[in-house]
Amino acid sequence: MNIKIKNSSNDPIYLQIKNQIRDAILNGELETDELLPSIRFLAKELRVSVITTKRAYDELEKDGFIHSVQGKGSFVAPQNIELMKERFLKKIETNITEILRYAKLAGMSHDELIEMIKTLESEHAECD
Amino acid sequence: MIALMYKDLVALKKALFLLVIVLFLVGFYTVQQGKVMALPLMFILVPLILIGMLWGSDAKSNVDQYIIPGPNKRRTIVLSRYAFVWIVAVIGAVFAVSLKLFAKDSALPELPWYLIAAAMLFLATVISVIQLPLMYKFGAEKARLIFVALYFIVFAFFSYIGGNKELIASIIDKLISLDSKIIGLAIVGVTLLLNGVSYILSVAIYAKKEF
Amino acid sequence: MQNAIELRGLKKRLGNFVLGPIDLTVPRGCIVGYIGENGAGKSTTIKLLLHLMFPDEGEIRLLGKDVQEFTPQMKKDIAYVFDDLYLPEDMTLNNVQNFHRKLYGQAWQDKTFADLVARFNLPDSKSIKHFSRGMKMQLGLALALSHGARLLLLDEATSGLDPVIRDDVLDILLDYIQNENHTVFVSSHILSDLEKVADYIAFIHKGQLLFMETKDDLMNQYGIASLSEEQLEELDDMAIVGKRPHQFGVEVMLKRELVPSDFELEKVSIEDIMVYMIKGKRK
Repeated sequence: MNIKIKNSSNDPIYLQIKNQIRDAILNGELETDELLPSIRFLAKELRVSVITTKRAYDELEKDGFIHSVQGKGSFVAPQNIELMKERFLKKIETNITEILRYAKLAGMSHDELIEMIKTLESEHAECD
Repeated sequence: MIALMYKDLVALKKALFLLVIVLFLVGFYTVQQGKVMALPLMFILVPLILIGMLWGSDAKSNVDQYIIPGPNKRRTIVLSRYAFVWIVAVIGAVFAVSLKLFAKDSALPELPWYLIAAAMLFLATVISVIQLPLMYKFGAEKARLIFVALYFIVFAFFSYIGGNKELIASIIDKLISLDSKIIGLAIVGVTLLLNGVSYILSVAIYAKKEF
Repeated sequence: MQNAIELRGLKKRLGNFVLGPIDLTVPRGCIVGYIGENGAGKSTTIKLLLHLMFPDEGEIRLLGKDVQEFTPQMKKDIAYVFDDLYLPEDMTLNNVQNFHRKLYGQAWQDKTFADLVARFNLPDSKSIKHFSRGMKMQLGLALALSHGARLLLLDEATSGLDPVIRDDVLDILLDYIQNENHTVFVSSHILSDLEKVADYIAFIHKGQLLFMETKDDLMNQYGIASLSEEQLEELDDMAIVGKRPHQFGVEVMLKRELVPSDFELEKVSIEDIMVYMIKGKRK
């Protein structure tokens, strides 16, 4: 697993770490029950404060991505992919409803909306 | 304690080496001149020189700041200074006594061995133990000045008494009439008292010192 | 859970300078950067911790115990590195090692020391008189880390050293802190290093502790903006921590929570925080 810390990023460092571990779990790079590096080791390797890595792990645990065992370390929690997908779908649904509402207010046509999504998508891809 | 003395010895290894060579040369010269009795007198100077060197080395490296937070009591740090004086004094006494017993030199004063030993212990420590608390209190520079002043006071005192020859004669008469064993004991007693008081004073001063 | 350092109402007067009263708690397992200008009271605090000076008032507890009650055995748990080595110059590295072996007895770890000496590439038979400042600091650090101490105090130890050596020191501190019972307290006025690894920043100014906070909170709390005089006028006075006016505008450090959320703020460094806070105090 690679973790990149960008000092120029607007996201706080704990969030950068959290998001990258989360992504690694979601895309299967980290497998269920895999042992994660210890908080202190991660802090040492990334040269960040222990409090930062601890916060990243705490949030990952809160969101159900990992679970910690006292004295043993933190492990990747089993992810219910179906449930996760469903949750994402729901989020997309709510957001699209919102978008449609705004589009109506702005008088945008269906095609214009699709075009906008495509443009943003390609821009986003460049950023990555 | 052992560690502290080890540190002192290696810190001064070059100076000590030089000191030993000088002592040998002086010793050799003294013996050649047929003044064997002057040999033990070197042991009166050595503690003073040692203390001076140790003090200089400590002050230069600021070593107190390193050893006080370490696993030492402040009292032990003071003791390590006194230990050098006492070791040299004991060596001096043993040396003087063995000289008396084995050298059979006519130049040696006709004194019993225990009196020689007692006198050596007294002479080898007295100046150092007066100086040490002064050094702890005022630092080496000021202590030296105070010591010189003290020396003049003592000198003036003796020259005053010196003028009073009858008094001296009577004191000497009294001393001679006393048993030499009692004199020996008295000297040892005074020496112990001086050393003890000096050590306690130094410990008390050093305990309050800030760095 | 026992704290590494606890200061309660610590006060020390030195001539015109007054340190404290300082209340400060350092939890175990972290690195604390103790920062402030020269003469702010950093070294005085560390000397008080090490019993080189005695407080006028207050209490100092290290590893849960009052420093006044420390025995030589307990002192082995504390390690310290100053800006100089403070050992006689004619000693060689071997002498110094023997000295510490006798000093620390059972607690002394020959292997740890040898590893560090090898890592730093220090000569063993040269007298330390011929060591560079960097080498002296490395030797000091090697000695400090070789007797199993649980609390490491560094007083301006890396100031004035080149960046490569300072970077090595950071690695070593991070290695040390891998044991969660170990704590590091670093005083420094050079901050760029600390920024990377410190968990907490304690800031002392003219003898007073202004704050001790986690570094992450601190960095998120403030932001820097370049403004015109007019823009500055519109801001809440409370939001302004410090400013640097120049001919073409003004640079300000602001409290993020007190400015509108659409306000564009740049990230701050610890150095910014220190500089702007001190400048803010001056006005």
